[in-house]
Amino acid sequence: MIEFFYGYSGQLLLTFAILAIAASGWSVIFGTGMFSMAPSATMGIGAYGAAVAYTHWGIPFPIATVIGVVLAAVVSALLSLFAWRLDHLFLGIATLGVAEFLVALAHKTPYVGGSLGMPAGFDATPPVVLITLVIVVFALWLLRRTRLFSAMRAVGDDTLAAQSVGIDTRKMKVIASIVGGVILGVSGALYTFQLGSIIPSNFGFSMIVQIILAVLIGGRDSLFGPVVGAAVVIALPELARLVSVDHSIAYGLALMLIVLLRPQGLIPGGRPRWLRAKSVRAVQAGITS
Amino acid sequence: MLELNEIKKSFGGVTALASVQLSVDDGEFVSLVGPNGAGKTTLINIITGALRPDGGQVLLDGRPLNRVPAYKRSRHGVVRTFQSPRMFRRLTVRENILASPRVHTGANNEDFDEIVEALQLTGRLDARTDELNVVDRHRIEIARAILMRPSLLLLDEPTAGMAESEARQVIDVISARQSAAGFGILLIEHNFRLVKEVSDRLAVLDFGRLIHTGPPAEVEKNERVLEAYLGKRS
Amino acid sequence: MSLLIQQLLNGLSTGAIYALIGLGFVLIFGVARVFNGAQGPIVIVGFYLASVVAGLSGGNFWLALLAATAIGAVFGLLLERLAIAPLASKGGGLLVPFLTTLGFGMVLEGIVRTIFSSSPQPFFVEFASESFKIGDVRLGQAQLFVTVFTILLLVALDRMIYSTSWGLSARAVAENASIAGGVGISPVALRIGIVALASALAGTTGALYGLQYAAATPTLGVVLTIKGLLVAVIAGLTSFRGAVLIGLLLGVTEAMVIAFAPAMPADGFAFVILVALLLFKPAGIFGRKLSGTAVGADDR
Repeated sequence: MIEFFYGYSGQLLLTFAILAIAASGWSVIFGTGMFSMAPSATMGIGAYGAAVAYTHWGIPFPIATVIGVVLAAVVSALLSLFAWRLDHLFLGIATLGVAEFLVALAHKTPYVGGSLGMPAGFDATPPVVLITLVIVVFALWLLRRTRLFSAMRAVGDDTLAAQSVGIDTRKMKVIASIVGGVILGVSGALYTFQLGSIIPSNFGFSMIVQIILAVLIGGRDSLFGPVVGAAVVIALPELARLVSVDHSIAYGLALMLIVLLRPQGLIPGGRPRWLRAKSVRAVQAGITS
Repeated sequence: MLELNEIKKSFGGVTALASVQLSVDDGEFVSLVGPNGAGKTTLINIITGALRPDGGQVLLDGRPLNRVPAYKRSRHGVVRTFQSPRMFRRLTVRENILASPRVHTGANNEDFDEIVEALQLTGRLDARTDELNVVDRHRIEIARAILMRPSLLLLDEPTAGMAESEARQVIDVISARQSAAGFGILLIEHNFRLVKEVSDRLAVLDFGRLIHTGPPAEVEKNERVLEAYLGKRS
Repeated sequence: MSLLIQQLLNGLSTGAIYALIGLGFVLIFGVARVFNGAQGPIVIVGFYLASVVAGLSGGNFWLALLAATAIGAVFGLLLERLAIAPLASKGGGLLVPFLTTLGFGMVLEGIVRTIFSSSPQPFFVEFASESFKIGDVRLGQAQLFVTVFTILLLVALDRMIYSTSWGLSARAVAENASIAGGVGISPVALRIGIVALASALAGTTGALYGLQYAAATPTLGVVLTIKGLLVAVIAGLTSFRGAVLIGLLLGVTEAMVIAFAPAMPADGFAFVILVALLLFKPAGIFGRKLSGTAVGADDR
């Protein structure tokens, strides 16, 4: 059984799980109307935070992970402040600027190993990675049943209308970014401890593309959308290789086709009628679905 | 009670509002009339905090609102609807109405059912808003606005797209609620006949200037108003 | 002191490349309100074709330049038809066209890699290969050529936009597409023309890049897209001359950081400036505020 995970398919499965976690995290941020192009940076902060705690400070894996996750959440919260001033693509460009800066900084920082990167342990065993994915999805399933989540969606749908009904849109953006940042941080720390080492370019533009593509393909409004999207993003280059097509061609075509033909993603959001709220009391109790 | 003190606003050199002075008492029904582009919606945007005035003060019960962000004004009871309704498209009709913290922390089931029934939304609560037409979208905003227990209700052409009878019915629901709860209303509405019937006072805005305020009967006799608003020339 | 002058010259010639890419962004954004995510990859396509043509023609730079420009225009037409035109009827923000053009650029990158592999492609021409030495300052002919040629190109483009009737139409559409349509200018034809023009410019830039750096890889496209985006946004998206100035400034800044603060990330430096500018001056340095594009909705 365990040998499977050290084979090629097993490694692919773990890579998928880590990307699925990251995409789920970003979908919370994007679902609140923030097109942040720094999910890779938040993930990278989680990864580097955990690696530094583990390797430089000798802190064991679980606590090192927590340290990475907290750092990622803080950085994500700070990035959400940009969303107070900037919208849409302008937010994307500003956050992309930060992401590229952090990667360039990691390349030049000897403490984190510069371009050669950092070693860490192999503590994130296959069961740990897969169980974490299940926990993250379950946590998001719980979150989606709260009033907080409805408010976050309201902000994502129409900021001005959300303000006019009394929703603190700035606070919602910070909260969504912290939630997303925690999940992205978790995926980053798992990435570190699954591979056993990290380099700055792990968290460069191609990681941004993978995360965003996973959410767009799967659907940003649904619980399983990012997970399904991550599976597609991992499978695409493998399928492309079978027919000798470059992975960029596969990703590029996928991006164009999904945006043009099915912008809501493979699994559109919205709950089926039988799952929708049935009474005011249920909503007042904080349950909207 | 709402007081507007010398509100000024211009957009890139074009004056939208020139020193507007207006008040709306609790329980009072004031209608804001005037031609398109007179600055009516701009005024509502300034009252709710969606726009910042270049000068002047917005006071609610004597308390200045200028530095209060839009979402807090709403929580203080300054409640609005939009000229073209703004829906939360990923939420159901019910969730759209309950989206306001003032509704889900305050409104009770009976109130909710009564308002929803009066505005003919009962059968559509679990629909998504993109399944509804613009008239129903206006009704959703109005239902939510009433359930938010406003101290001041700002209605920006709430009956746009409605037939005369539908419009009358919606306005009746609103004024019945007003008589019970005693909040102030500032209404923008183009149907002059309707406006005359329901308003305590009319405020006529023309090119950003308040050219007249007074009871409907009086306004109707004012030459300048007739010319500016009703387009009649003697 | 000579290091300072040396880096100033190096920076200016790098900056000329950035300026050309930034200008491509401004052209397309002005008329089509699209952030072109394929700008960098088209530069790379131009570079690769130029390197092949140079190889076949025994190092003829002018032929290579011409071929690169032509293929840029061809891919511009494809870009417009496949990634921009399908969205024109749908309206909707800046994000969707950025994503489709980005996807188009990724496909180009993949095609280039399929044909040429991912290792660096050399670029040999029998042109401007000498260098002068003035004191301690070394000045390559290629560098000088790239800088001067870029300036000439910019002047020509400036003329085209500000002194021809086609340029006038373009500016009219950039100002207000619906009014321009109302007075008989076809926004579609104009959009096609502008995207092709900006892409031809990108192709030219590819050949100039080859002349200056003598090699490139397929993945360079993304880096150039990001740099161009940076230049265009800092300049304010609507300003031609602003984009040129910011491009040159970016090149010089990077050269200075590399020489005088080698511990600092040269790329990162520019990004920090970008972010600060976006936050405090969302309309850019030379830009006018565009309605509904720059400022956040919950700006209090």
